[in-house]
Amino acid sequence: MVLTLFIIASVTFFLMDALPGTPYNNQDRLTESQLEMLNKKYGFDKPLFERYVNYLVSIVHGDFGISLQFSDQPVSTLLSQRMGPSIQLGLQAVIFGTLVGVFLGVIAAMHQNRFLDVFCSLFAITGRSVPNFVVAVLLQSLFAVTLKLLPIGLWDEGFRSSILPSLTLSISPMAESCRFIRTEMVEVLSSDYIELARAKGMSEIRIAFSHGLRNALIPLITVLGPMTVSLMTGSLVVENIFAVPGIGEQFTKSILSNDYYTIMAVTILFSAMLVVVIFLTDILYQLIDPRVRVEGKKHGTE
Amino acid sequence: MKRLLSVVLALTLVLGAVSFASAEESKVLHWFISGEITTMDTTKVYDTISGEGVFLIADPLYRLDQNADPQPNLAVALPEISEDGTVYTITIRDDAKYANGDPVKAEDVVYAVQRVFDPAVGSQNSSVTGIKNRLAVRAGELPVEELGVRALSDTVLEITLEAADPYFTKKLADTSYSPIPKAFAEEQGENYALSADALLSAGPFVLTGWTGTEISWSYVKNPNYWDAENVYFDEIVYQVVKDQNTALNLYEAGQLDGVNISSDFIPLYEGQDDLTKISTLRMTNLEQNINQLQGDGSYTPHPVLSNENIRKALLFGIDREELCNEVLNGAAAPAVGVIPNGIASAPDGKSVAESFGVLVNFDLEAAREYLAKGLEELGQDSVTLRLVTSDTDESIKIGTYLQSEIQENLPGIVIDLANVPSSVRFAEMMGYNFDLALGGWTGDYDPTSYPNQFETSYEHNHAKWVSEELTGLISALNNEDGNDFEARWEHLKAANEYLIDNAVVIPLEQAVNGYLINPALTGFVTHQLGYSVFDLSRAAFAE
Amino acid sequence: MARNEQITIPDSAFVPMKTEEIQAEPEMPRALSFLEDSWRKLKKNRAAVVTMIILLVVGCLAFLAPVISPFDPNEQHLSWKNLPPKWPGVSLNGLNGTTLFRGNRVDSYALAKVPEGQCFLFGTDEFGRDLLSRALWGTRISLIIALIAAFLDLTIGIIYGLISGMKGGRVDTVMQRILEILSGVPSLVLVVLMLLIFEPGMTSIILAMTISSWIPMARVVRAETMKIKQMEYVQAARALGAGEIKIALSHILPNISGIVIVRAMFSIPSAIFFETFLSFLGVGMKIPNASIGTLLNGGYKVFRLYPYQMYIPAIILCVIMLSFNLFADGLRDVFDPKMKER
Repeated sequence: MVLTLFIIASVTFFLMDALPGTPYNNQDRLTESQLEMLNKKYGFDKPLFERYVNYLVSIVHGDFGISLQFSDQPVSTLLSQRMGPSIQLGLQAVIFGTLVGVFLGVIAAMHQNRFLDVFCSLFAITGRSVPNFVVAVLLQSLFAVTLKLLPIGLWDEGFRSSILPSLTLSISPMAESCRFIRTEMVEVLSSDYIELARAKGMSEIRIAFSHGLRNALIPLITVLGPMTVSLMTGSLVVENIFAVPGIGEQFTKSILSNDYYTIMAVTILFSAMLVVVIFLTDILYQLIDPRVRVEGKKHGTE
Repeated sequence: MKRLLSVVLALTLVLGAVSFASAEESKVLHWFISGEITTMDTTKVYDTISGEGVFLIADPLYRLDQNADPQPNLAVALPEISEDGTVYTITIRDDAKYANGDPVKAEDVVYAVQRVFDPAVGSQNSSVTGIKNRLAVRAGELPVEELGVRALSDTVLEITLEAADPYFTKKLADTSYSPIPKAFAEEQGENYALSADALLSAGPFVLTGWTGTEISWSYVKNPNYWDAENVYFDEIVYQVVKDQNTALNLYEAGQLDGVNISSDFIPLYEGQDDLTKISTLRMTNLEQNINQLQGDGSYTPHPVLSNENIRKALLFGIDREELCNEVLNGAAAPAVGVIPNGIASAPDGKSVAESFGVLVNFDLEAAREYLAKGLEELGQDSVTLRLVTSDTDESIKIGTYLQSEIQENLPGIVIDLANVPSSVRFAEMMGYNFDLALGGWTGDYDPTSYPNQFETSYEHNHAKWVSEELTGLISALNNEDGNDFEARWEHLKAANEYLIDNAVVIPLEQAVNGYLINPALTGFVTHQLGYSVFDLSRAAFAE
Repeated sequence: MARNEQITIPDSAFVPMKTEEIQAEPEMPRALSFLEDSWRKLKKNRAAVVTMIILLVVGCLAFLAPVISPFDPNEQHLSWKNLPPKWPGVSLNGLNGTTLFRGNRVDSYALAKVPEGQCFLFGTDEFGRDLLSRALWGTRISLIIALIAAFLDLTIGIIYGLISGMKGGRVDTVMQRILEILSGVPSLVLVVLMLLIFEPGMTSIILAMTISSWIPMARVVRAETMKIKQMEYVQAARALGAGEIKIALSHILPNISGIVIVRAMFSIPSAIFFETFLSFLGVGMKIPNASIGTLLNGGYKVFRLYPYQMYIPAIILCVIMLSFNLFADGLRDVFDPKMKER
């Protein structure tokens, strides 16, 4: 795991160095001498490899550098202050989206090709068919402006402020869950051992939830894992629309403004979370379906 | 029973009175800003966001009024200027205090200016100019003490310039001249200005609720401010709103007292009290790379744009009225020349437009003639030019319009639009290897700063235009003319004409910023130039 | 009749068949080929048929965009900017060329002095460009992007996942680590770097997609493969001597077809949103070319003023997505061997 992280960080470091432009926001107005002075101050005038090594050394000591966009604030301050809301929104979105999605998926599978199936599927797919800013704007327009039930945005009303953004972000996990569950369940529900359970008199609902679900979960968690990570690292558009002080914007803005240390820090953060989640997912596979073996033991004719 | 009733009644009355008294709310203004603060250190301010951010905690020597005339602020009167115009002596108030009660001294202003040029501080500020030895200090060749600012006493300040500058008093209204106590700053060290605790305000308000990356923070009235009695608001809350729709929703819901409004929405609010339009002196120009940098370091003339007729065809072939009124809905005013209208008045009182004339106008016939001649000289039927825009919405809009307009008005010119992130665009422009680029330019109160852009030795002369004549004019303006306004005006006029005659650049428009502001808000001053558009320090709600 | 009563049928009721009669039996219907059988099954699913027709119609319209667009999609008519949709003969608000401006209904077409008979079915945008033409061309480009994304998924994604899942062991570990590295390095950095070499537009978008859009599919296929390769019938096939490739193609692939199709269908909106996002940041489609992404971005900015500019591309996208998904469901029902016809 650490090796993967190291490779990701290194590749990003070298690629990032090739980005054109400077990290100074005011580059149009800076004179050559000012540029020299600034590069000297921040150490950007040293050769690439030396900077690379210095950076690795400083990470080990916990120093992630400073953010040039945010008036030289330490990057760790930036992250610790702004990660919170993004993580909260991401988790709320995934939990809510998955629960509702699974529920819809099961219902759809149980009524395959009939009205409820089409309805649930349509509902999930429609949400996923439009970009999240469309959903965000519509939700804000309906609930905050017209009905005045929820705040327009900002982050000053505690949980209430997080409802609309979480709802917007939950559409993706909801749709994927609904569709995956439905697909797997439809197959499972027509297989033999289910027929047996039916013959034995088990109710459809029990069948669906206790037998069908297990099979359906594997592809779902494969997709949900990385999706959770990207949701937790914030969405630029949704956070901008609802004026949420999250970290989402930094994943793109730092790249577009050459804020080197921030780019590295958010990349490392995102990758670390991703690597951990993938590792956990692999473990989860084995728990859910013991027939699945990941770290391949040789078997059979392999 | 009756006694009980009367006791209850009395209590209710008392409670009611008490709550009525405390119901006199604190006076709060909810204002907007378009992004997170980039720096709260007055000596490092380099963009409009940080400019807005520091304005309320700074106490500059002068404040500009609505006519852009400097009025004494921290200084007690306009500066005493020496005969040759290079030495400014300024007396500051003796009753000015910081938020913690400490007195403000002249040496604090000296320290602040020294910080602007101290290489250890690393300021990107480009608005403080003209001070003696500043370049050497910044390059580390001279110690900070050699900078042309010193304190003659606790209340007297002396600034020495390299050359006379008639606009210097206006430039003294910059927040970079706001006092900073040296002991406090050194105590904070690296952390100075990184959070509200690490700042000591000398201005009308004190910063709270900011530790570096917030999207909402406030300014609370500074009780020790020398002019505190004229400061109306108890608190001003700043909110970062990046999305236009949300900003409008918040304004209409009354949660914000002011928001900016893009050109798309101006027609919706036209004629309403809320809409405030502020003309600025920010020019948008179509820049041309007339001499291109080759791989070996030499410059060769651009194959197409070095032809003056083609350049003139572009200059006269664009309908700026249509651009400003139809495309930008009034969020811009057509350019009159390289020097923007409204920046200064001629010695006889006329405006720039009246005195210099409107040199860039739409003349389709003439443009087509120039085009025909140019194409003939180049020996081609059609030429393709790549136009690079920046990534702001407005820039893309203008670029899209220009492509259609140029191709329609000047058949034979094909425009290839390239919308790239600003870092890529900047690399191209500073690499002097582009065709056309949509550029913006904001100078300072000295009109020389506009034609100066194209002077041969200027670092950001993207056109790479070489001209001794222009260099001569600029040099005269900067070094010789001094306070002789007549001479200055003549040279400015000549520079303006020169640039247009040679079609070095194609001025398009001057920006007009649109805002929605609570009609009850009065007493605020707007600036056409500089890093802060609004001066809210003495603003108030009309009672 | 009573239950246990014997029924007596006289022998004379039976007459042996003659050989000629046997041979003259009417022919049994011949067994249907795979394709014909699939088509038959598909036809029974009404939703699938309807959506297939919709997709064909949309595809044709988009493909024929250069021919059927009433205007050049980039042609500007500034005096006719921001006109709402007007359908000749229709008087529904929203389709009759009127706008609600500060509480009053105004006839925007009359105000802009549009000649009689000139109708813009989808209205115009901020430059007076016909939105119908832009929508047609835009759909064309977006469909191309969508199909490329689906293609990448169905090729690179599936193959990568199959190999990773089938091989297991160290090969799997290395392949998965490579996927993690590809996901971890910010793709935006690569996009910006590419812009130094390529112009903004289709090339850079497609290259960006080639790097990472197929990764979720690869992961899903790998997971499913690992699940299925343990099944008894796969073990049986192996015992019978079937090679790895045959197992992959004839046993695993059909059984994961359901999930694969669902995932492929989701990669289509992801690709379109990716393009939209890149355009939002300013590194996507070359301006002024239209794509559904750029239409959505533009419409969203002025949603409060001209909602139709966002609704129209959103509805188009929805219809395409829904059709793809329901059609894919139908396909899956047809191809999946485990599906019993209900």
